[in-house]
Amino acid sequence: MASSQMRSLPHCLERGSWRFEAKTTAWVLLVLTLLGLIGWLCLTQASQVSAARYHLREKEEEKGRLQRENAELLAEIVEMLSIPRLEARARELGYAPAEGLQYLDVPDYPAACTELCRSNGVSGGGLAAVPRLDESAVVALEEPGHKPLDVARWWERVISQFVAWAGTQP
Amino acid sequence: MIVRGKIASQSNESSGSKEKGVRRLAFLVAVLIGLALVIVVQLFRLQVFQRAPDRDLERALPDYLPKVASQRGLIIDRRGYFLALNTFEYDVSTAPDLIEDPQDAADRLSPLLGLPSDELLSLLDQEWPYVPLKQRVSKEVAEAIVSLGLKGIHLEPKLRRKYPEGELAAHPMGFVNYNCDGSYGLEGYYDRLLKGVSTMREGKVPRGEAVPIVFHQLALPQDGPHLMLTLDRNIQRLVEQELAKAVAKYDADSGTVIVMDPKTGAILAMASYPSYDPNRFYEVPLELYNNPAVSEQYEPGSVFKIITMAGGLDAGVITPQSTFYDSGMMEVGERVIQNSDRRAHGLVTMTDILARSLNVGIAYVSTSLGEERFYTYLRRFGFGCKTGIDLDGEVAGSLKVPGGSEWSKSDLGTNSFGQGIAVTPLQMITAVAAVANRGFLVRPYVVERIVDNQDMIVTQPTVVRQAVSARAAEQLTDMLVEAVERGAELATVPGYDVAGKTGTAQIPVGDRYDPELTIASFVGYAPADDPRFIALVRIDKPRVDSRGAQVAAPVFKAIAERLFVLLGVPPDSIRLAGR
Repeated sequence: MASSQMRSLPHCLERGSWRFEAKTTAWVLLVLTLLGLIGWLCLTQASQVSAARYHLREKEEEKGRLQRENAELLAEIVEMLSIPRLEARARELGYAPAEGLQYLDVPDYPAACTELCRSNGVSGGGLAAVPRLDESAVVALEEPGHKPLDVARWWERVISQFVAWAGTQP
Repeated sequence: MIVRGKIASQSNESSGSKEKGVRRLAFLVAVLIGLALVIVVQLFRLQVFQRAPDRDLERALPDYLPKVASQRGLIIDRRGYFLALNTFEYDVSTAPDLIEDPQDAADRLSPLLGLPSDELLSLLDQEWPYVPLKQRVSKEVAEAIVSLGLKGIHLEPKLRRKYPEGELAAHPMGFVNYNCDGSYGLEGYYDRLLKGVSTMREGKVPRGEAVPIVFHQLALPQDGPHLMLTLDRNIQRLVEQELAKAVAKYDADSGTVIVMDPKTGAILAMASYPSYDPNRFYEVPLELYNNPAVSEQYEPGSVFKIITMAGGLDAGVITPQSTFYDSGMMEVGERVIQNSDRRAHGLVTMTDILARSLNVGIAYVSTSLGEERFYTYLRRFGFGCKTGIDLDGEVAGSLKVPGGSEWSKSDLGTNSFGQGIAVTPLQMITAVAAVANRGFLVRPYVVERIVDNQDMIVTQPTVVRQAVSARAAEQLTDMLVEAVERGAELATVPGYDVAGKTGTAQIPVGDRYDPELTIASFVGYAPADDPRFIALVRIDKPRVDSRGAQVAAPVFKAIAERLFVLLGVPPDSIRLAGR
């Protein structure tokens, strides 16, 4: 009978008529096995979580260390690019502040080019500034009917003017 | 029978063996129950009878709630050079119960931390689970401590702001204190933005353990965005050098220089002397932290005549060619106004009034305008209000207006030449920039772009209002060019038209003015027809010479000469030849 087959261990003990019933034993073993399996799963998961925690901790420490190292390296680079250092280095190399600048009046110097050069002129070290292109200047150069620049001829004129100017200098 | 007896005997044996088995099993169950009881009793004892001390221990465990710190955003000048970045220092602490040999540890740490060995030993011998030993040691010291291989010594990295250019642009930059809070200047104004968003963790770390028991992080930290400035470190350096030289040369107390793009309001340089190194902010008196360019008020003196004249031209009460007979004095309200040279100049034009800086003449303009219009113009030029620059500590200045308890009729006369009115250097340069910018008053700004990993916010130049008409501004510019050529030769730069005005302001001391000391100033812009920059120079209490034309004008010239090179502005003859 199912009810007698399902009798539990305490019930058997209470009755004092303990009998090794194969099915009861199997049930007990099954329950124990399930409990053991659940326990094993819990332990495995706990162990994995713990290991992951260590791993995460290690990675975080490494990330922090690398960030600090990056920051130190950046600081070193910036230190080397600082004005007093660059000035001192320039002086060592024989440079001096530009003085007595002379400007040449170049006939037909394209104004659009001037604007374009000016708008692109800003650049820098470290985190380089984004060059700003003056779109209106570009458009001006590409307008239909706009005379294309003969750069070679223009440069020739600039150089000849420079040579002439250089000849006037003491 | 025999078989039956055998069977009976086997049955007896079998039942005896079963009984034995039952007894053994019962014994085993009893043992297991007994063991379980022992565990339960022990748990009960620990949880109930010894609960209080354990709870205390639990409380003693530190809450594992350290911030996962975000990185503070960097500050970069317009050319891409770093003006502020992050480095790290280290806090040294100990868990004394993990120290194996306190005496040995104290002896070895003493030279590195710069603390006496006895003092260290007393710290290492404490009962506390955590004892701080020294704050903010350098990376080199931290590395040396790690190399000692001592157990129980902990190093915690702490962010430290570094300003690689030292004193350069200290006032507009401000600084970051030990708690990583920005103060003054940009660091103060953009503090919350630069900090980014730190995140929190929840959990506990048992004493002596490295890994928290509970671990829960709410979100990833967000680093602060970077600020790209309108400041140019080369121009800033130039300005600071010239300012320091001038203060020394004229035996002055202090000084301020601002360089701005008048068309956009972008500040190219902002310097004050004396300055300080923000890397060592803690070594200087608190007064030095304030940025005089935005937070110090002064009576501007004759440079203010530009504003009065602009109002007069715009309102049409005068033209550049209008004449006025200067008798050397004029009574406005209950006060007699005189020229600074105490002389009468006869028939003069409005341009003469600027070139010779005649107080009586400019008082004539303000009185011609009348109270209402004169003060309306002052407000249009932004006086009495903050400019709205993105720097900490800006003040609004002080403007007395008709109807106010402090205003008197004589103020209409004295205010016209910059007396009885208090402005900041930034207000003054912003107002004159409006004249340079065809009458449009723009809001000055220092941050050009805010950049993070995903977005970039670009500051758009903001026109606050049109203070005067373009025609009036252009007329005034021509007058100011002549004023420089005739009245401030030391500010002229060969090859360039410079528009500007000198100022020699008296310094109020109580109810009267200091009889000797002045504030010498000059504000000018160039090239006059298409200004690329405007600069204000203010030298406080120069003792070698008190006049703006002698003290501040040469500083402007020295700066302007180099600015033309740095900004790539050819002389007018070259620049205008192509037009």
